[in-house]
Amino acid sequence: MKGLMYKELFLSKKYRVITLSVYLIMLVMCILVKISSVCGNIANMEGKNMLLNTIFIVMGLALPAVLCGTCFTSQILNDEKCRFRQYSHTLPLTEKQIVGSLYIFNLIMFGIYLLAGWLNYFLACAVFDRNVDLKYLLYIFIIGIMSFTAFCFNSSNSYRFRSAKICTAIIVSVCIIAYLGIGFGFICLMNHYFKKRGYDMFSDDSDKEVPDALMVDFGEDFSKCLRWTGTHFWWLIVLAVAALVFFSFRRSVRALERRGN
Amino acid sequence: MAAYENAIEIKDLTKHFDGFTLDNISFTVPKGSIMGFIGQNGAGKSTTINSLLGIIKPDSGEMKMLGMDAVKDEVTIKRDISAVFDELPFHEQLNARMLSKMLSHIYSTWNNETFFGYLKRFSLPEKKKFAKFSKGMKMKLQIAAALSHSAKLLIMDEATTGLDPVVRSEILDIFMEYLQDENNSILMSSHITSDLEKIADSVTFIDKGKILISGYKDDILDSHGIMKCTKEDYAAVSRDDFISARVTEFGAELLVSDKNACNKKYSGAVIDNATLDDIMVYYVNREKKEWK
Repeated sequence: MKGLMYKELFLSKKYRVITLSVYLIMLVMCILVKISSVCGNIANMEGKNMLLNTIFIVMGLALPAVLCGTCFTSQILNDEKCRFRQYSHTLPLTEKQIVGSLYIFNLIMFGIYLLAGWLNYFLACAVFDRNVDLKYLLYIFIIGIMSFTAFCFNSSNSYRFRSAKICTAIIVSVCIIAYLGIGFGFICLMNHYFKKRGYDMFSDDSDKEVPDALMVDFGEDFSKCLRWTGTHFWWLIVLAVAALVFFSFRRSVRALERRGN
Repeated sequence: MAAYENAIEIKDLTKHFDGFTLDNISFTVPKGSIMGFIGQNGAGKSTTINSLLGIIKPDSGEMKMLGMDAVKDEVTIKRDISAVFDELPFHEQLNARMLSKMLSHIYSTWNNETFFGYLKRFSLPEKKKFAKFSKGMKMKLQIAAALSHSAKLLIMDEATTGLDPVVRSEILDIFMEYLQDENNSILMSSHITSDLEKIADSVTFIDKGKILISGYKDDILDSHGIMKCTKEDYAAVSRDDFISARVTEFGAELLVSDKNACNKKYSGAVIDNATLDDIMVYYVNREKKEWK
């Protein structure tokens, strides 16, 4: 198992170099902007804030997402392409060990990227004189866990279908369905909320703008609702992720056990 | 590991694909020997080897390697076997050092000294990515990896195909060295029968999913022969006495499976020694019986 994990480590070198380079470039940019603003070169306060906020978002949040996203690579399909999958059956390893090595490797990478993401966020807070908000740490974790579960889902498809095209089609379809589903659900929820307060988004006079106060109330209530769900039902999310990882692992092992029939 | 006589024992192995069936094949590879596995493209060589290695699951049949059941004791067996394929099964971004690190954690008997010794012997670079290796280098690398964990059985699928004669000769020498240890055995499928004639102890010939001949190479070459005769003489030869005949305007060449018997029956006929190539070609045309 350890041997296959070494293989993944060597093969992911390219991704690690790319993410580290992106990180360093962003870091240099942040320092330059900071120096520039300290020296008063960015006179316009609004422009300065906008620039700093943009870099903060990129460095503090988007970058960890990129880092976590590197877990989600096409390792299995690469194995298929170079016939390593065929070769792996000649090694003294069981199917569980072959699939397990990949899962453990990605889990370790997820842990490393999570730590890197959090450290990065603390650094960004220090550079831009902001207070650490635990909410952002949670966002970084969520982004990471989404990448990991996406990897698990994709791995079972890769072992099952052994085709990059089919795997891409499945993941794109799932993303589109999830996006449309969430969007539709959100609009329905919003309309239901507004209706209760005497405003119908889909009525004939829907051209009329939604009152600002109503939008603010909705935002606050929605956040409250999310917080309440997160506080009381966080275990449900953990359970769902654990179930997905477990079933993906089992499905991957079974697909590999079919031995290319 | 229990004592065993045959490195490989295959009995009634069957695998059905759409348009092809590996039909109840049986053969054995004696311990300490090298067996050549020959046949034309699509004859079933790779299917047999892939079944043996567990890459595909056969429909039925028994397979034993190193005295153990190939399915039940799969992981144990695989510690002591090595496979070499016609194409490099490693990622092209890797290099020999990375491969050694990887395999040393997979095989408990992996020997870095042996591996790097082979690299030096084959003049293979340690840090160069496999993507930049030539076909010959890739094959040598596979062989170096296969021989660096004290494997008792080497299974090769078209390993020497596409290599130049110099590299092939170098590789054959390595196999001969490997076989100096009488516990080591090789199953080697190849189109290049001249290589097998040089090194194989026994030969198994497969065609259209069926084993046609399996036995010691010298016995097969001794018993088979090419009978050369005129068209008139050919007409007098019983069709049961030859496998198939190549008839040209100058005469006929027939492959006979019992040279001595034919010599007695057709006194005066010229019967030359047959090569494995001849045997393969004439057997493949056995259904036509007569071909040009």
